[in-house]
Amino acid sequence: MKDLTSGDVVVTGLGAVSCLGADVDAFWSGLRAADSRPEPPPGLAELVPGALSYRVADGVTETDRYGRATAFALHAARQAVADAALTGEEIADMAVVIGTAAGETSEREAARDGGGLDAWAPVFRVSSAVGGELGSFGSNISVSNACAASGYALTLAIDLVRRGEAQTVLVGGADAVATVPLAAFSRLGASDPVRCRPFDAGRRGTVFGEGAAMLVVRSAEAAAGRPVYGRLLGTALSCDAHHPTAPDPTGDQLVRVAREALREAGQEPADIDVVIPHGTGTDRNDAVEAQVLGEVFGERLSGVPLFSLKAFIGHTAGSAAAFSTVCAALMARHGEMPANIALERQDPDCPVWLPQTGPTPLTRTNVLLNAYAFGGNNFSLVFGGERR
Amino acid sequence: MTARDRVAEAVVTGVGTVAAPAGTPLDEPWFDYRARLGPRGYRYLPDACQYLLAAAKGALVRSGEDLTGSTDPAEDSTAPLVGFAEERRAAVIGTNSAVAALHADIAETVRAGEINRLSPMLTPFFSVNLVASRLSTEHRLKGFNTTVTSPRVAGLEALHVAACELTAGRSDVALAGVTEAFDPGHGTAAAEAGAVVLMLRPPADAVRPGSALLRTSLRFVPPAALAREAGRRRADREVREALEALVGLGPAPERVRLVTDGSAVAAAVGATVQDWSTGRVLLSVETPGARAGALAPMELVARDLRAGAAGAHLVVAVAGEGNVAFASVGPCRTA
Repeated sequence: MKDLTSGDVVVTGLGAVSCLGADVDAFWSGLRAADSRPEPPPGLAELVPGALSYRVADGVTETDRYGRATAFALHAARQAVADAALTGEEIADMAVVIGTAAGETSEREAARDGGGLDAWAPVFRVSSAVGGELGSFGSNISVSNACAASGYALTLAIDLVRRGEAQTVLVGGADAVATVPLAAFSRLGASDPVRCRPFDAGRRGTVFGEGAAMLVVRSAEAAAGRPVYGRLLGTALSCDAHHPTAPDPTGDQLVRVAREALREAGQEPADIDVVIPHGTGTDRNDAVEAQVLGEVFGERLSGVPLFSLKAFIGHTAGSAAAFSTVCAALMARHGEMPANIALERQDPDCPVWLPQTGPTPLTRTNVLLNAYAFGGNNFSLVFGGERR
Repeated sequence: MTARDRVAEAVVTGVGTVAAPAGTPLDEPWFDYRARLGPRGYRYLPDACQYLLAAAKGALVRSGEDLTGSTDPAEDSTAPLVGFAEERRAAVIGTNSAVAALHADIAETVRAGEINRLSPMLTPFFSVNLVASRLSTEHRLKGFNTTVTSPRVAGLEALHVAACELTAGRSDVALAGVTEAFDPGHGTAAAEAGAVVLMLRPPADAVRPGSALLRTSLRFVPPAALAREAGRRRADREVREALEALVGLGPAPERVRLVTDGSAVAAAVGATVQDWSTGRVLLSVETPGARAGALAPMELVARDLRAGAAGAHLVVAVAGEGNVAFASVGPCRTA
C-alpha cells in the first residue's frame, strides 16, 4: 500500500445489508453468484399492480423500534464500525452523514392510517437515530438527494474530513421499499415488470431494491497504522437545472461531474480500471450515461469494464452510491470484478463493455462511480482501491 | 481538530422570506403565487416549492443591498447571479415537511386503489429534493443542489453545509435556507409553513457594506447519553465548546435565541446555554413547544439579519433526536 499522506481520506470499514444478505460477505457472495431476482413486495403488490422489488429478507434486522430504513442503517453501521475496529472514544467523536431518499415515509403513512400520530414523527431521522444509537457526538447530517443521496453524503463526509470538522465519519445510505416511491415510479411509467436490466435493449424502467451500505472514512492521521480499503480520491457534484425527472439529453453536467471528480483525484480517464455506472434500467438514463461515458473515455470506452450493480440488488435509491462504493472497496480487496448478470440483448445505443462470462481480474482498482437523481442532481467519485 | 474547525463561515448578501400572516390557518390556502412569482409556470408546484422560489427571489432582489431593507431593491431577481458562471452557483435547502402532504395524498390515493389518479405533474415531487431542484431550474444553479433533512434543524444545517462547501471551493455563490409546508401529520407539534433563503458568498470574498457574516456549527447529543453522568458532561462540553468557538471568532453576541422542542435533549442543551449566557448575554427561549419542521430557527436568523444590529446575534436550535445547530449573524469584518 502507498503511504498515507496528509489530506488523504481513506475507507477503513464497510457494512451492508441488502437482498443479497445481512452483511458484506453475503453481499460479495451474492454478487459472485449473480442469481438475484426481484419479487412482488408483500403488502404493496396489491396496491401497486405489477410491482417488484429486491427486498431484504424478513428477520435480518430488528424493526421494533425504528422503521425499516433506519433498522437497515443501524445494522450496516454497526458492521462498518466493527470492521474499522474503532475504539469507544473514536465512535464518540465520530461524525455521521447518511443519505436517504424516503426515510421512514412508509412507517409514517402506516401510523397515520392507523390514527397513531399524536406526536410529530420526523420522516428523515435515519442519521439521527444512527448517531444516537452509536453514541456519536460528531456533526450529524441527513442528506435527501433522492437516488444520489449517499453520493452527496460521501462528498460532505470527504469535505468534513478535509476541513478538519471530523477525523472519522460514518457515511452511507439507507432506504426501504415503500408505497409512495413505488407508486410514483409506477405512475410515471418508470418500473420494469421483469427485473432491473440496465443497458438491455428490452429494459422498461427500474426496479427498486432496499437496504443500507455504510463506510467508515477517516483522515490519514486518524487511520495511521490501520488497514484501509482505499482512498476517496476525488468527488464532484453537479445539477442539470433541466427537468424534474428526465436527464438533460446533452449530458453536459454528467460529463462535467465525472471530469471534475477525475481532476480532483488527479487521475486521467486512462487511469480508471472499472466503472460502476448509475445504470438504473430506465430508457433515458442508460442511454445518456452511455453517451456521457463515451465522451469521458473516448475510444477507450470499449476497454473499460462496467459493473452494473443495480442488476443484482435493484435500485436502492438513497443508498445506491454507498453500495457502489462498498462494491468498489470489495473489488479492491478481492482483486477482481465479478461477472455482470447476463443481458438478453445489449442496447446498441449503449456501447459499453459489460463483461458477463466470468470475473475480471484487477491488478489495480481505480473505480469511477456515478449516481444521478431526480432533479438532475449528479455525483461522481473516484475510488482508489488498496489490497487490504 | 479544534472547536474552531467545526465552525463554518459565509457572507450573507441577501435574505428573503415567505411567512403566513399571523393567525392564518396553515392548512388553508394563504399564499398567492401569482403575486409573488408570476402568473405562469408555478401553478402545479407544491406549496413548499412556491414558498422557496418566492423567498429565493426576495433574497436575490435584496442581494447587495442593505439587509435591513432601507434601500430600494433591484427589480430583476436574476441580476445578482449574472456575474457568476452557472456551474459555480449552488443551492442547499433544508426541510422536514416540504412534501409531507403530498406523501399523505399519494398514500391515500393508492390505498383507495386509484393509483392512476395520481397527478403526473405533482407526483414527481414525492422525491423531496425536487423542491430545491426547481430552484436550480429557475436560476440556472448548476454547481450543485443539496437537500438536507435533519429533524428541526435542517435550515441551519443547510446554512452550515453551504458555508462548508463554499469554503471548499465547490461553488462561488449559494442560495441556502429552508422551506416547510403544512404537514397533516403534525400531531401535537405546531405545523409550519413558509420559507427563508439567504444568498451566501465565501467568507474571503470582498463584500459590500451592509452584508453580514454568518457563522454556523453543528453538534449532536445522543439522547441515551444523557442517562449517564459522563454523557451529560460530554453534552455540556459540546455545547459550551460550540458557543465559545462562535464567540471567539467574532464580537460577543448581543442576544442568544433558543429554539427547543420540549425534549430531554433540549432541556439539557437549554440548561447549558442558560448557564453559559448568565451574566454575559441576553437569552430568550423562543417557540418552547415542539414544531413540525425546521422553519422557526431560520425565521429568527432572518429577523436578526433584518434588524441589522451592531453586534452578533446567535440562534440555537435543538431536536429531541439529538441534533443541535448554532448560527450567529453579525456585521462583516469588511463592512
